[in-house]
Amino acid sequence: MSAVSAQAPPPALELREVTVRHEPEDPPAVATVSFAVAPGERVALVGLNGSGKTTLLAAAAGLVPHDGEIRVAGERLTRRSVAALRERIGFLFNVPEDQLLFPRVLDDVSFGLRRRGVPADEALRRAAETLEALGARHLADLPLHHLSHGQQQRVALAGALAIGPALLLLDEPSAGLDPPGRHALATLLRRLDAAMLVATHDLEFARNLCTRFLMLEQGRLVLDAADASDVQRRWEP
Amino acid sequence: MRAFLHDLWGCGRGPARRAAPPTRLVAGAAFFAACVVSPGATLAGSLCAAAAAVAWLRLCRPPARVVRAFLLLGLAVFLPYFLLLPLLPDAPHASLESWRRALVVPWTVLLRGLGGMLVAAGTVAALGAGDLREALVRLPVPGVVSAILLQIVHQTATLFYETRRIAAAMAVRGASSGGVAAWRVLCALPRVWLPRVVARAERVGAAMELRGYADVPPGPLRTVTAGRADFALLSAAAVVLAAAIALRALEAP
Repeated sequence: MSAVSAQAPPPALELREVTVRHEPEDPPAVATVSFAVAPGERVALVGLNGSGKTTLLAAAAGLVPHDGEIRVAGERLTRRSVAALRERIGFLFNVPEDQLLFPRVLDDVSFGLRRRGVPADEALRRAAETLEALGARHLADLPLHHLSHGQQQRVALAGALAIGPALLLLDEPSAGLDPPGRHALATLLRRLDAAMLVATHDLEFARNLCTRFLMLEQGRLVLDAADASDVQRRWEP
Repeated sequence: MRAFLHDLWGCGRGPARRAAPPTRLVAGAAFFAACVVSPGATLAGSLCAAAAAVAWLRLCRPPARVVRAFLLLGLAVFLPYFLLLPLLPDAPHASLESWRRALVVPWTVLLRGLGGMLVAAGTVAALGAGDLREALVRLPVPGVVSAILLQIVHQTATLFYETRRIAAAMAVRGASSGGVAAWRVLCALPRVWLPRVVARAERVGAAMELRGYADVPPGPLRTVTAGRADFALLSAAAVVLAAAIALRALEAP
């Protein structure tokens, strides 16, 4: 084996001693958290309400200032590098309506592709394929305000997936989906090559999708386990 | 009525829909300008503004309920200016000429305001959900300006629904059951509504940043060629605007 092939690829996402405060005088929302997500690895980030899951995801996408070090595919997230690194990230907000920026579903889903220079026809075709994969092809021509919360969730996810990101940061992706929808989503996400950090309360969904479970409590990482039952034991003593 | 505000877009069924989106937007802007430029002090000017509004509504043909809603809103906004008339200096003994001169001001406000609102309603009805973006991208409008305009339109509607949800929550929780309760809730509105709006604006801003929305907006999706409908619509708009400008020029001392 040559020296080049023996070299392991850098983690898709790496956090070293990351602390986030909403205000300088506030207690940290995320406190000295360190972990890495390997390429292709699917990691669940679980925790109770207010435990810092959303803040941690926002920090990983460079949306909130942080102390410590965040690396995406080995490259440090800084003010200069953030725009380039975001090109590799697909993000799902926990309120999907917030990230839908166009009046028509297909325009919104294809936006990321067109921004990356994909020709319009090709972008629309790929956006339609992504919607199809999410079981939402029938929504393509609808105005966004006609969609239910669960449908908005799928459309927002389609927008994130359409660009083929190497790293997916998903905030409560199963929220608002019906049980078949949750199952189908987990199945779809399992098929992707992208690394994932999935913030969720839905332990069943996390168990279906992820192979590793991180648990946050009051902003601190208290568990890093390969088995969801460890999380369950902490929640249901 | 669940999505009244958004459903205004493209609800018109008039012949203006045959023209390309940029043509519809430019023609709408010209009719709007005609209403605003027309002099309210003369009969010809008043007729010109009214004719511009009516003609544009005929071309866009929005549903009657939309026209009615905008008409009532316009009257509610602009009619109260007439209440200022009794404040005219020595109003009870003022001459007929003084009354006429005083009347011209609220009349012009009503004419231009109502005409402008109806033309705006027609324009919105003539442009579909994606047409506004199409029109802005094709017109020589700076990319950032069109991006901001589009988000203003999109987010205004979203905030409208947010406000309706808050109002519904208030109604469900009994806020509308008594005058005092309603008043208390109304007073608390800045503390309830405003923080939600601000928080939402922050989240949308983050999403725009993350998705690269501020970058140059993507090009138009459809191929549009100018045809007879475009020519006819632009000609009509040009004639109306020219007439309004001419009347305004004639009125000038």
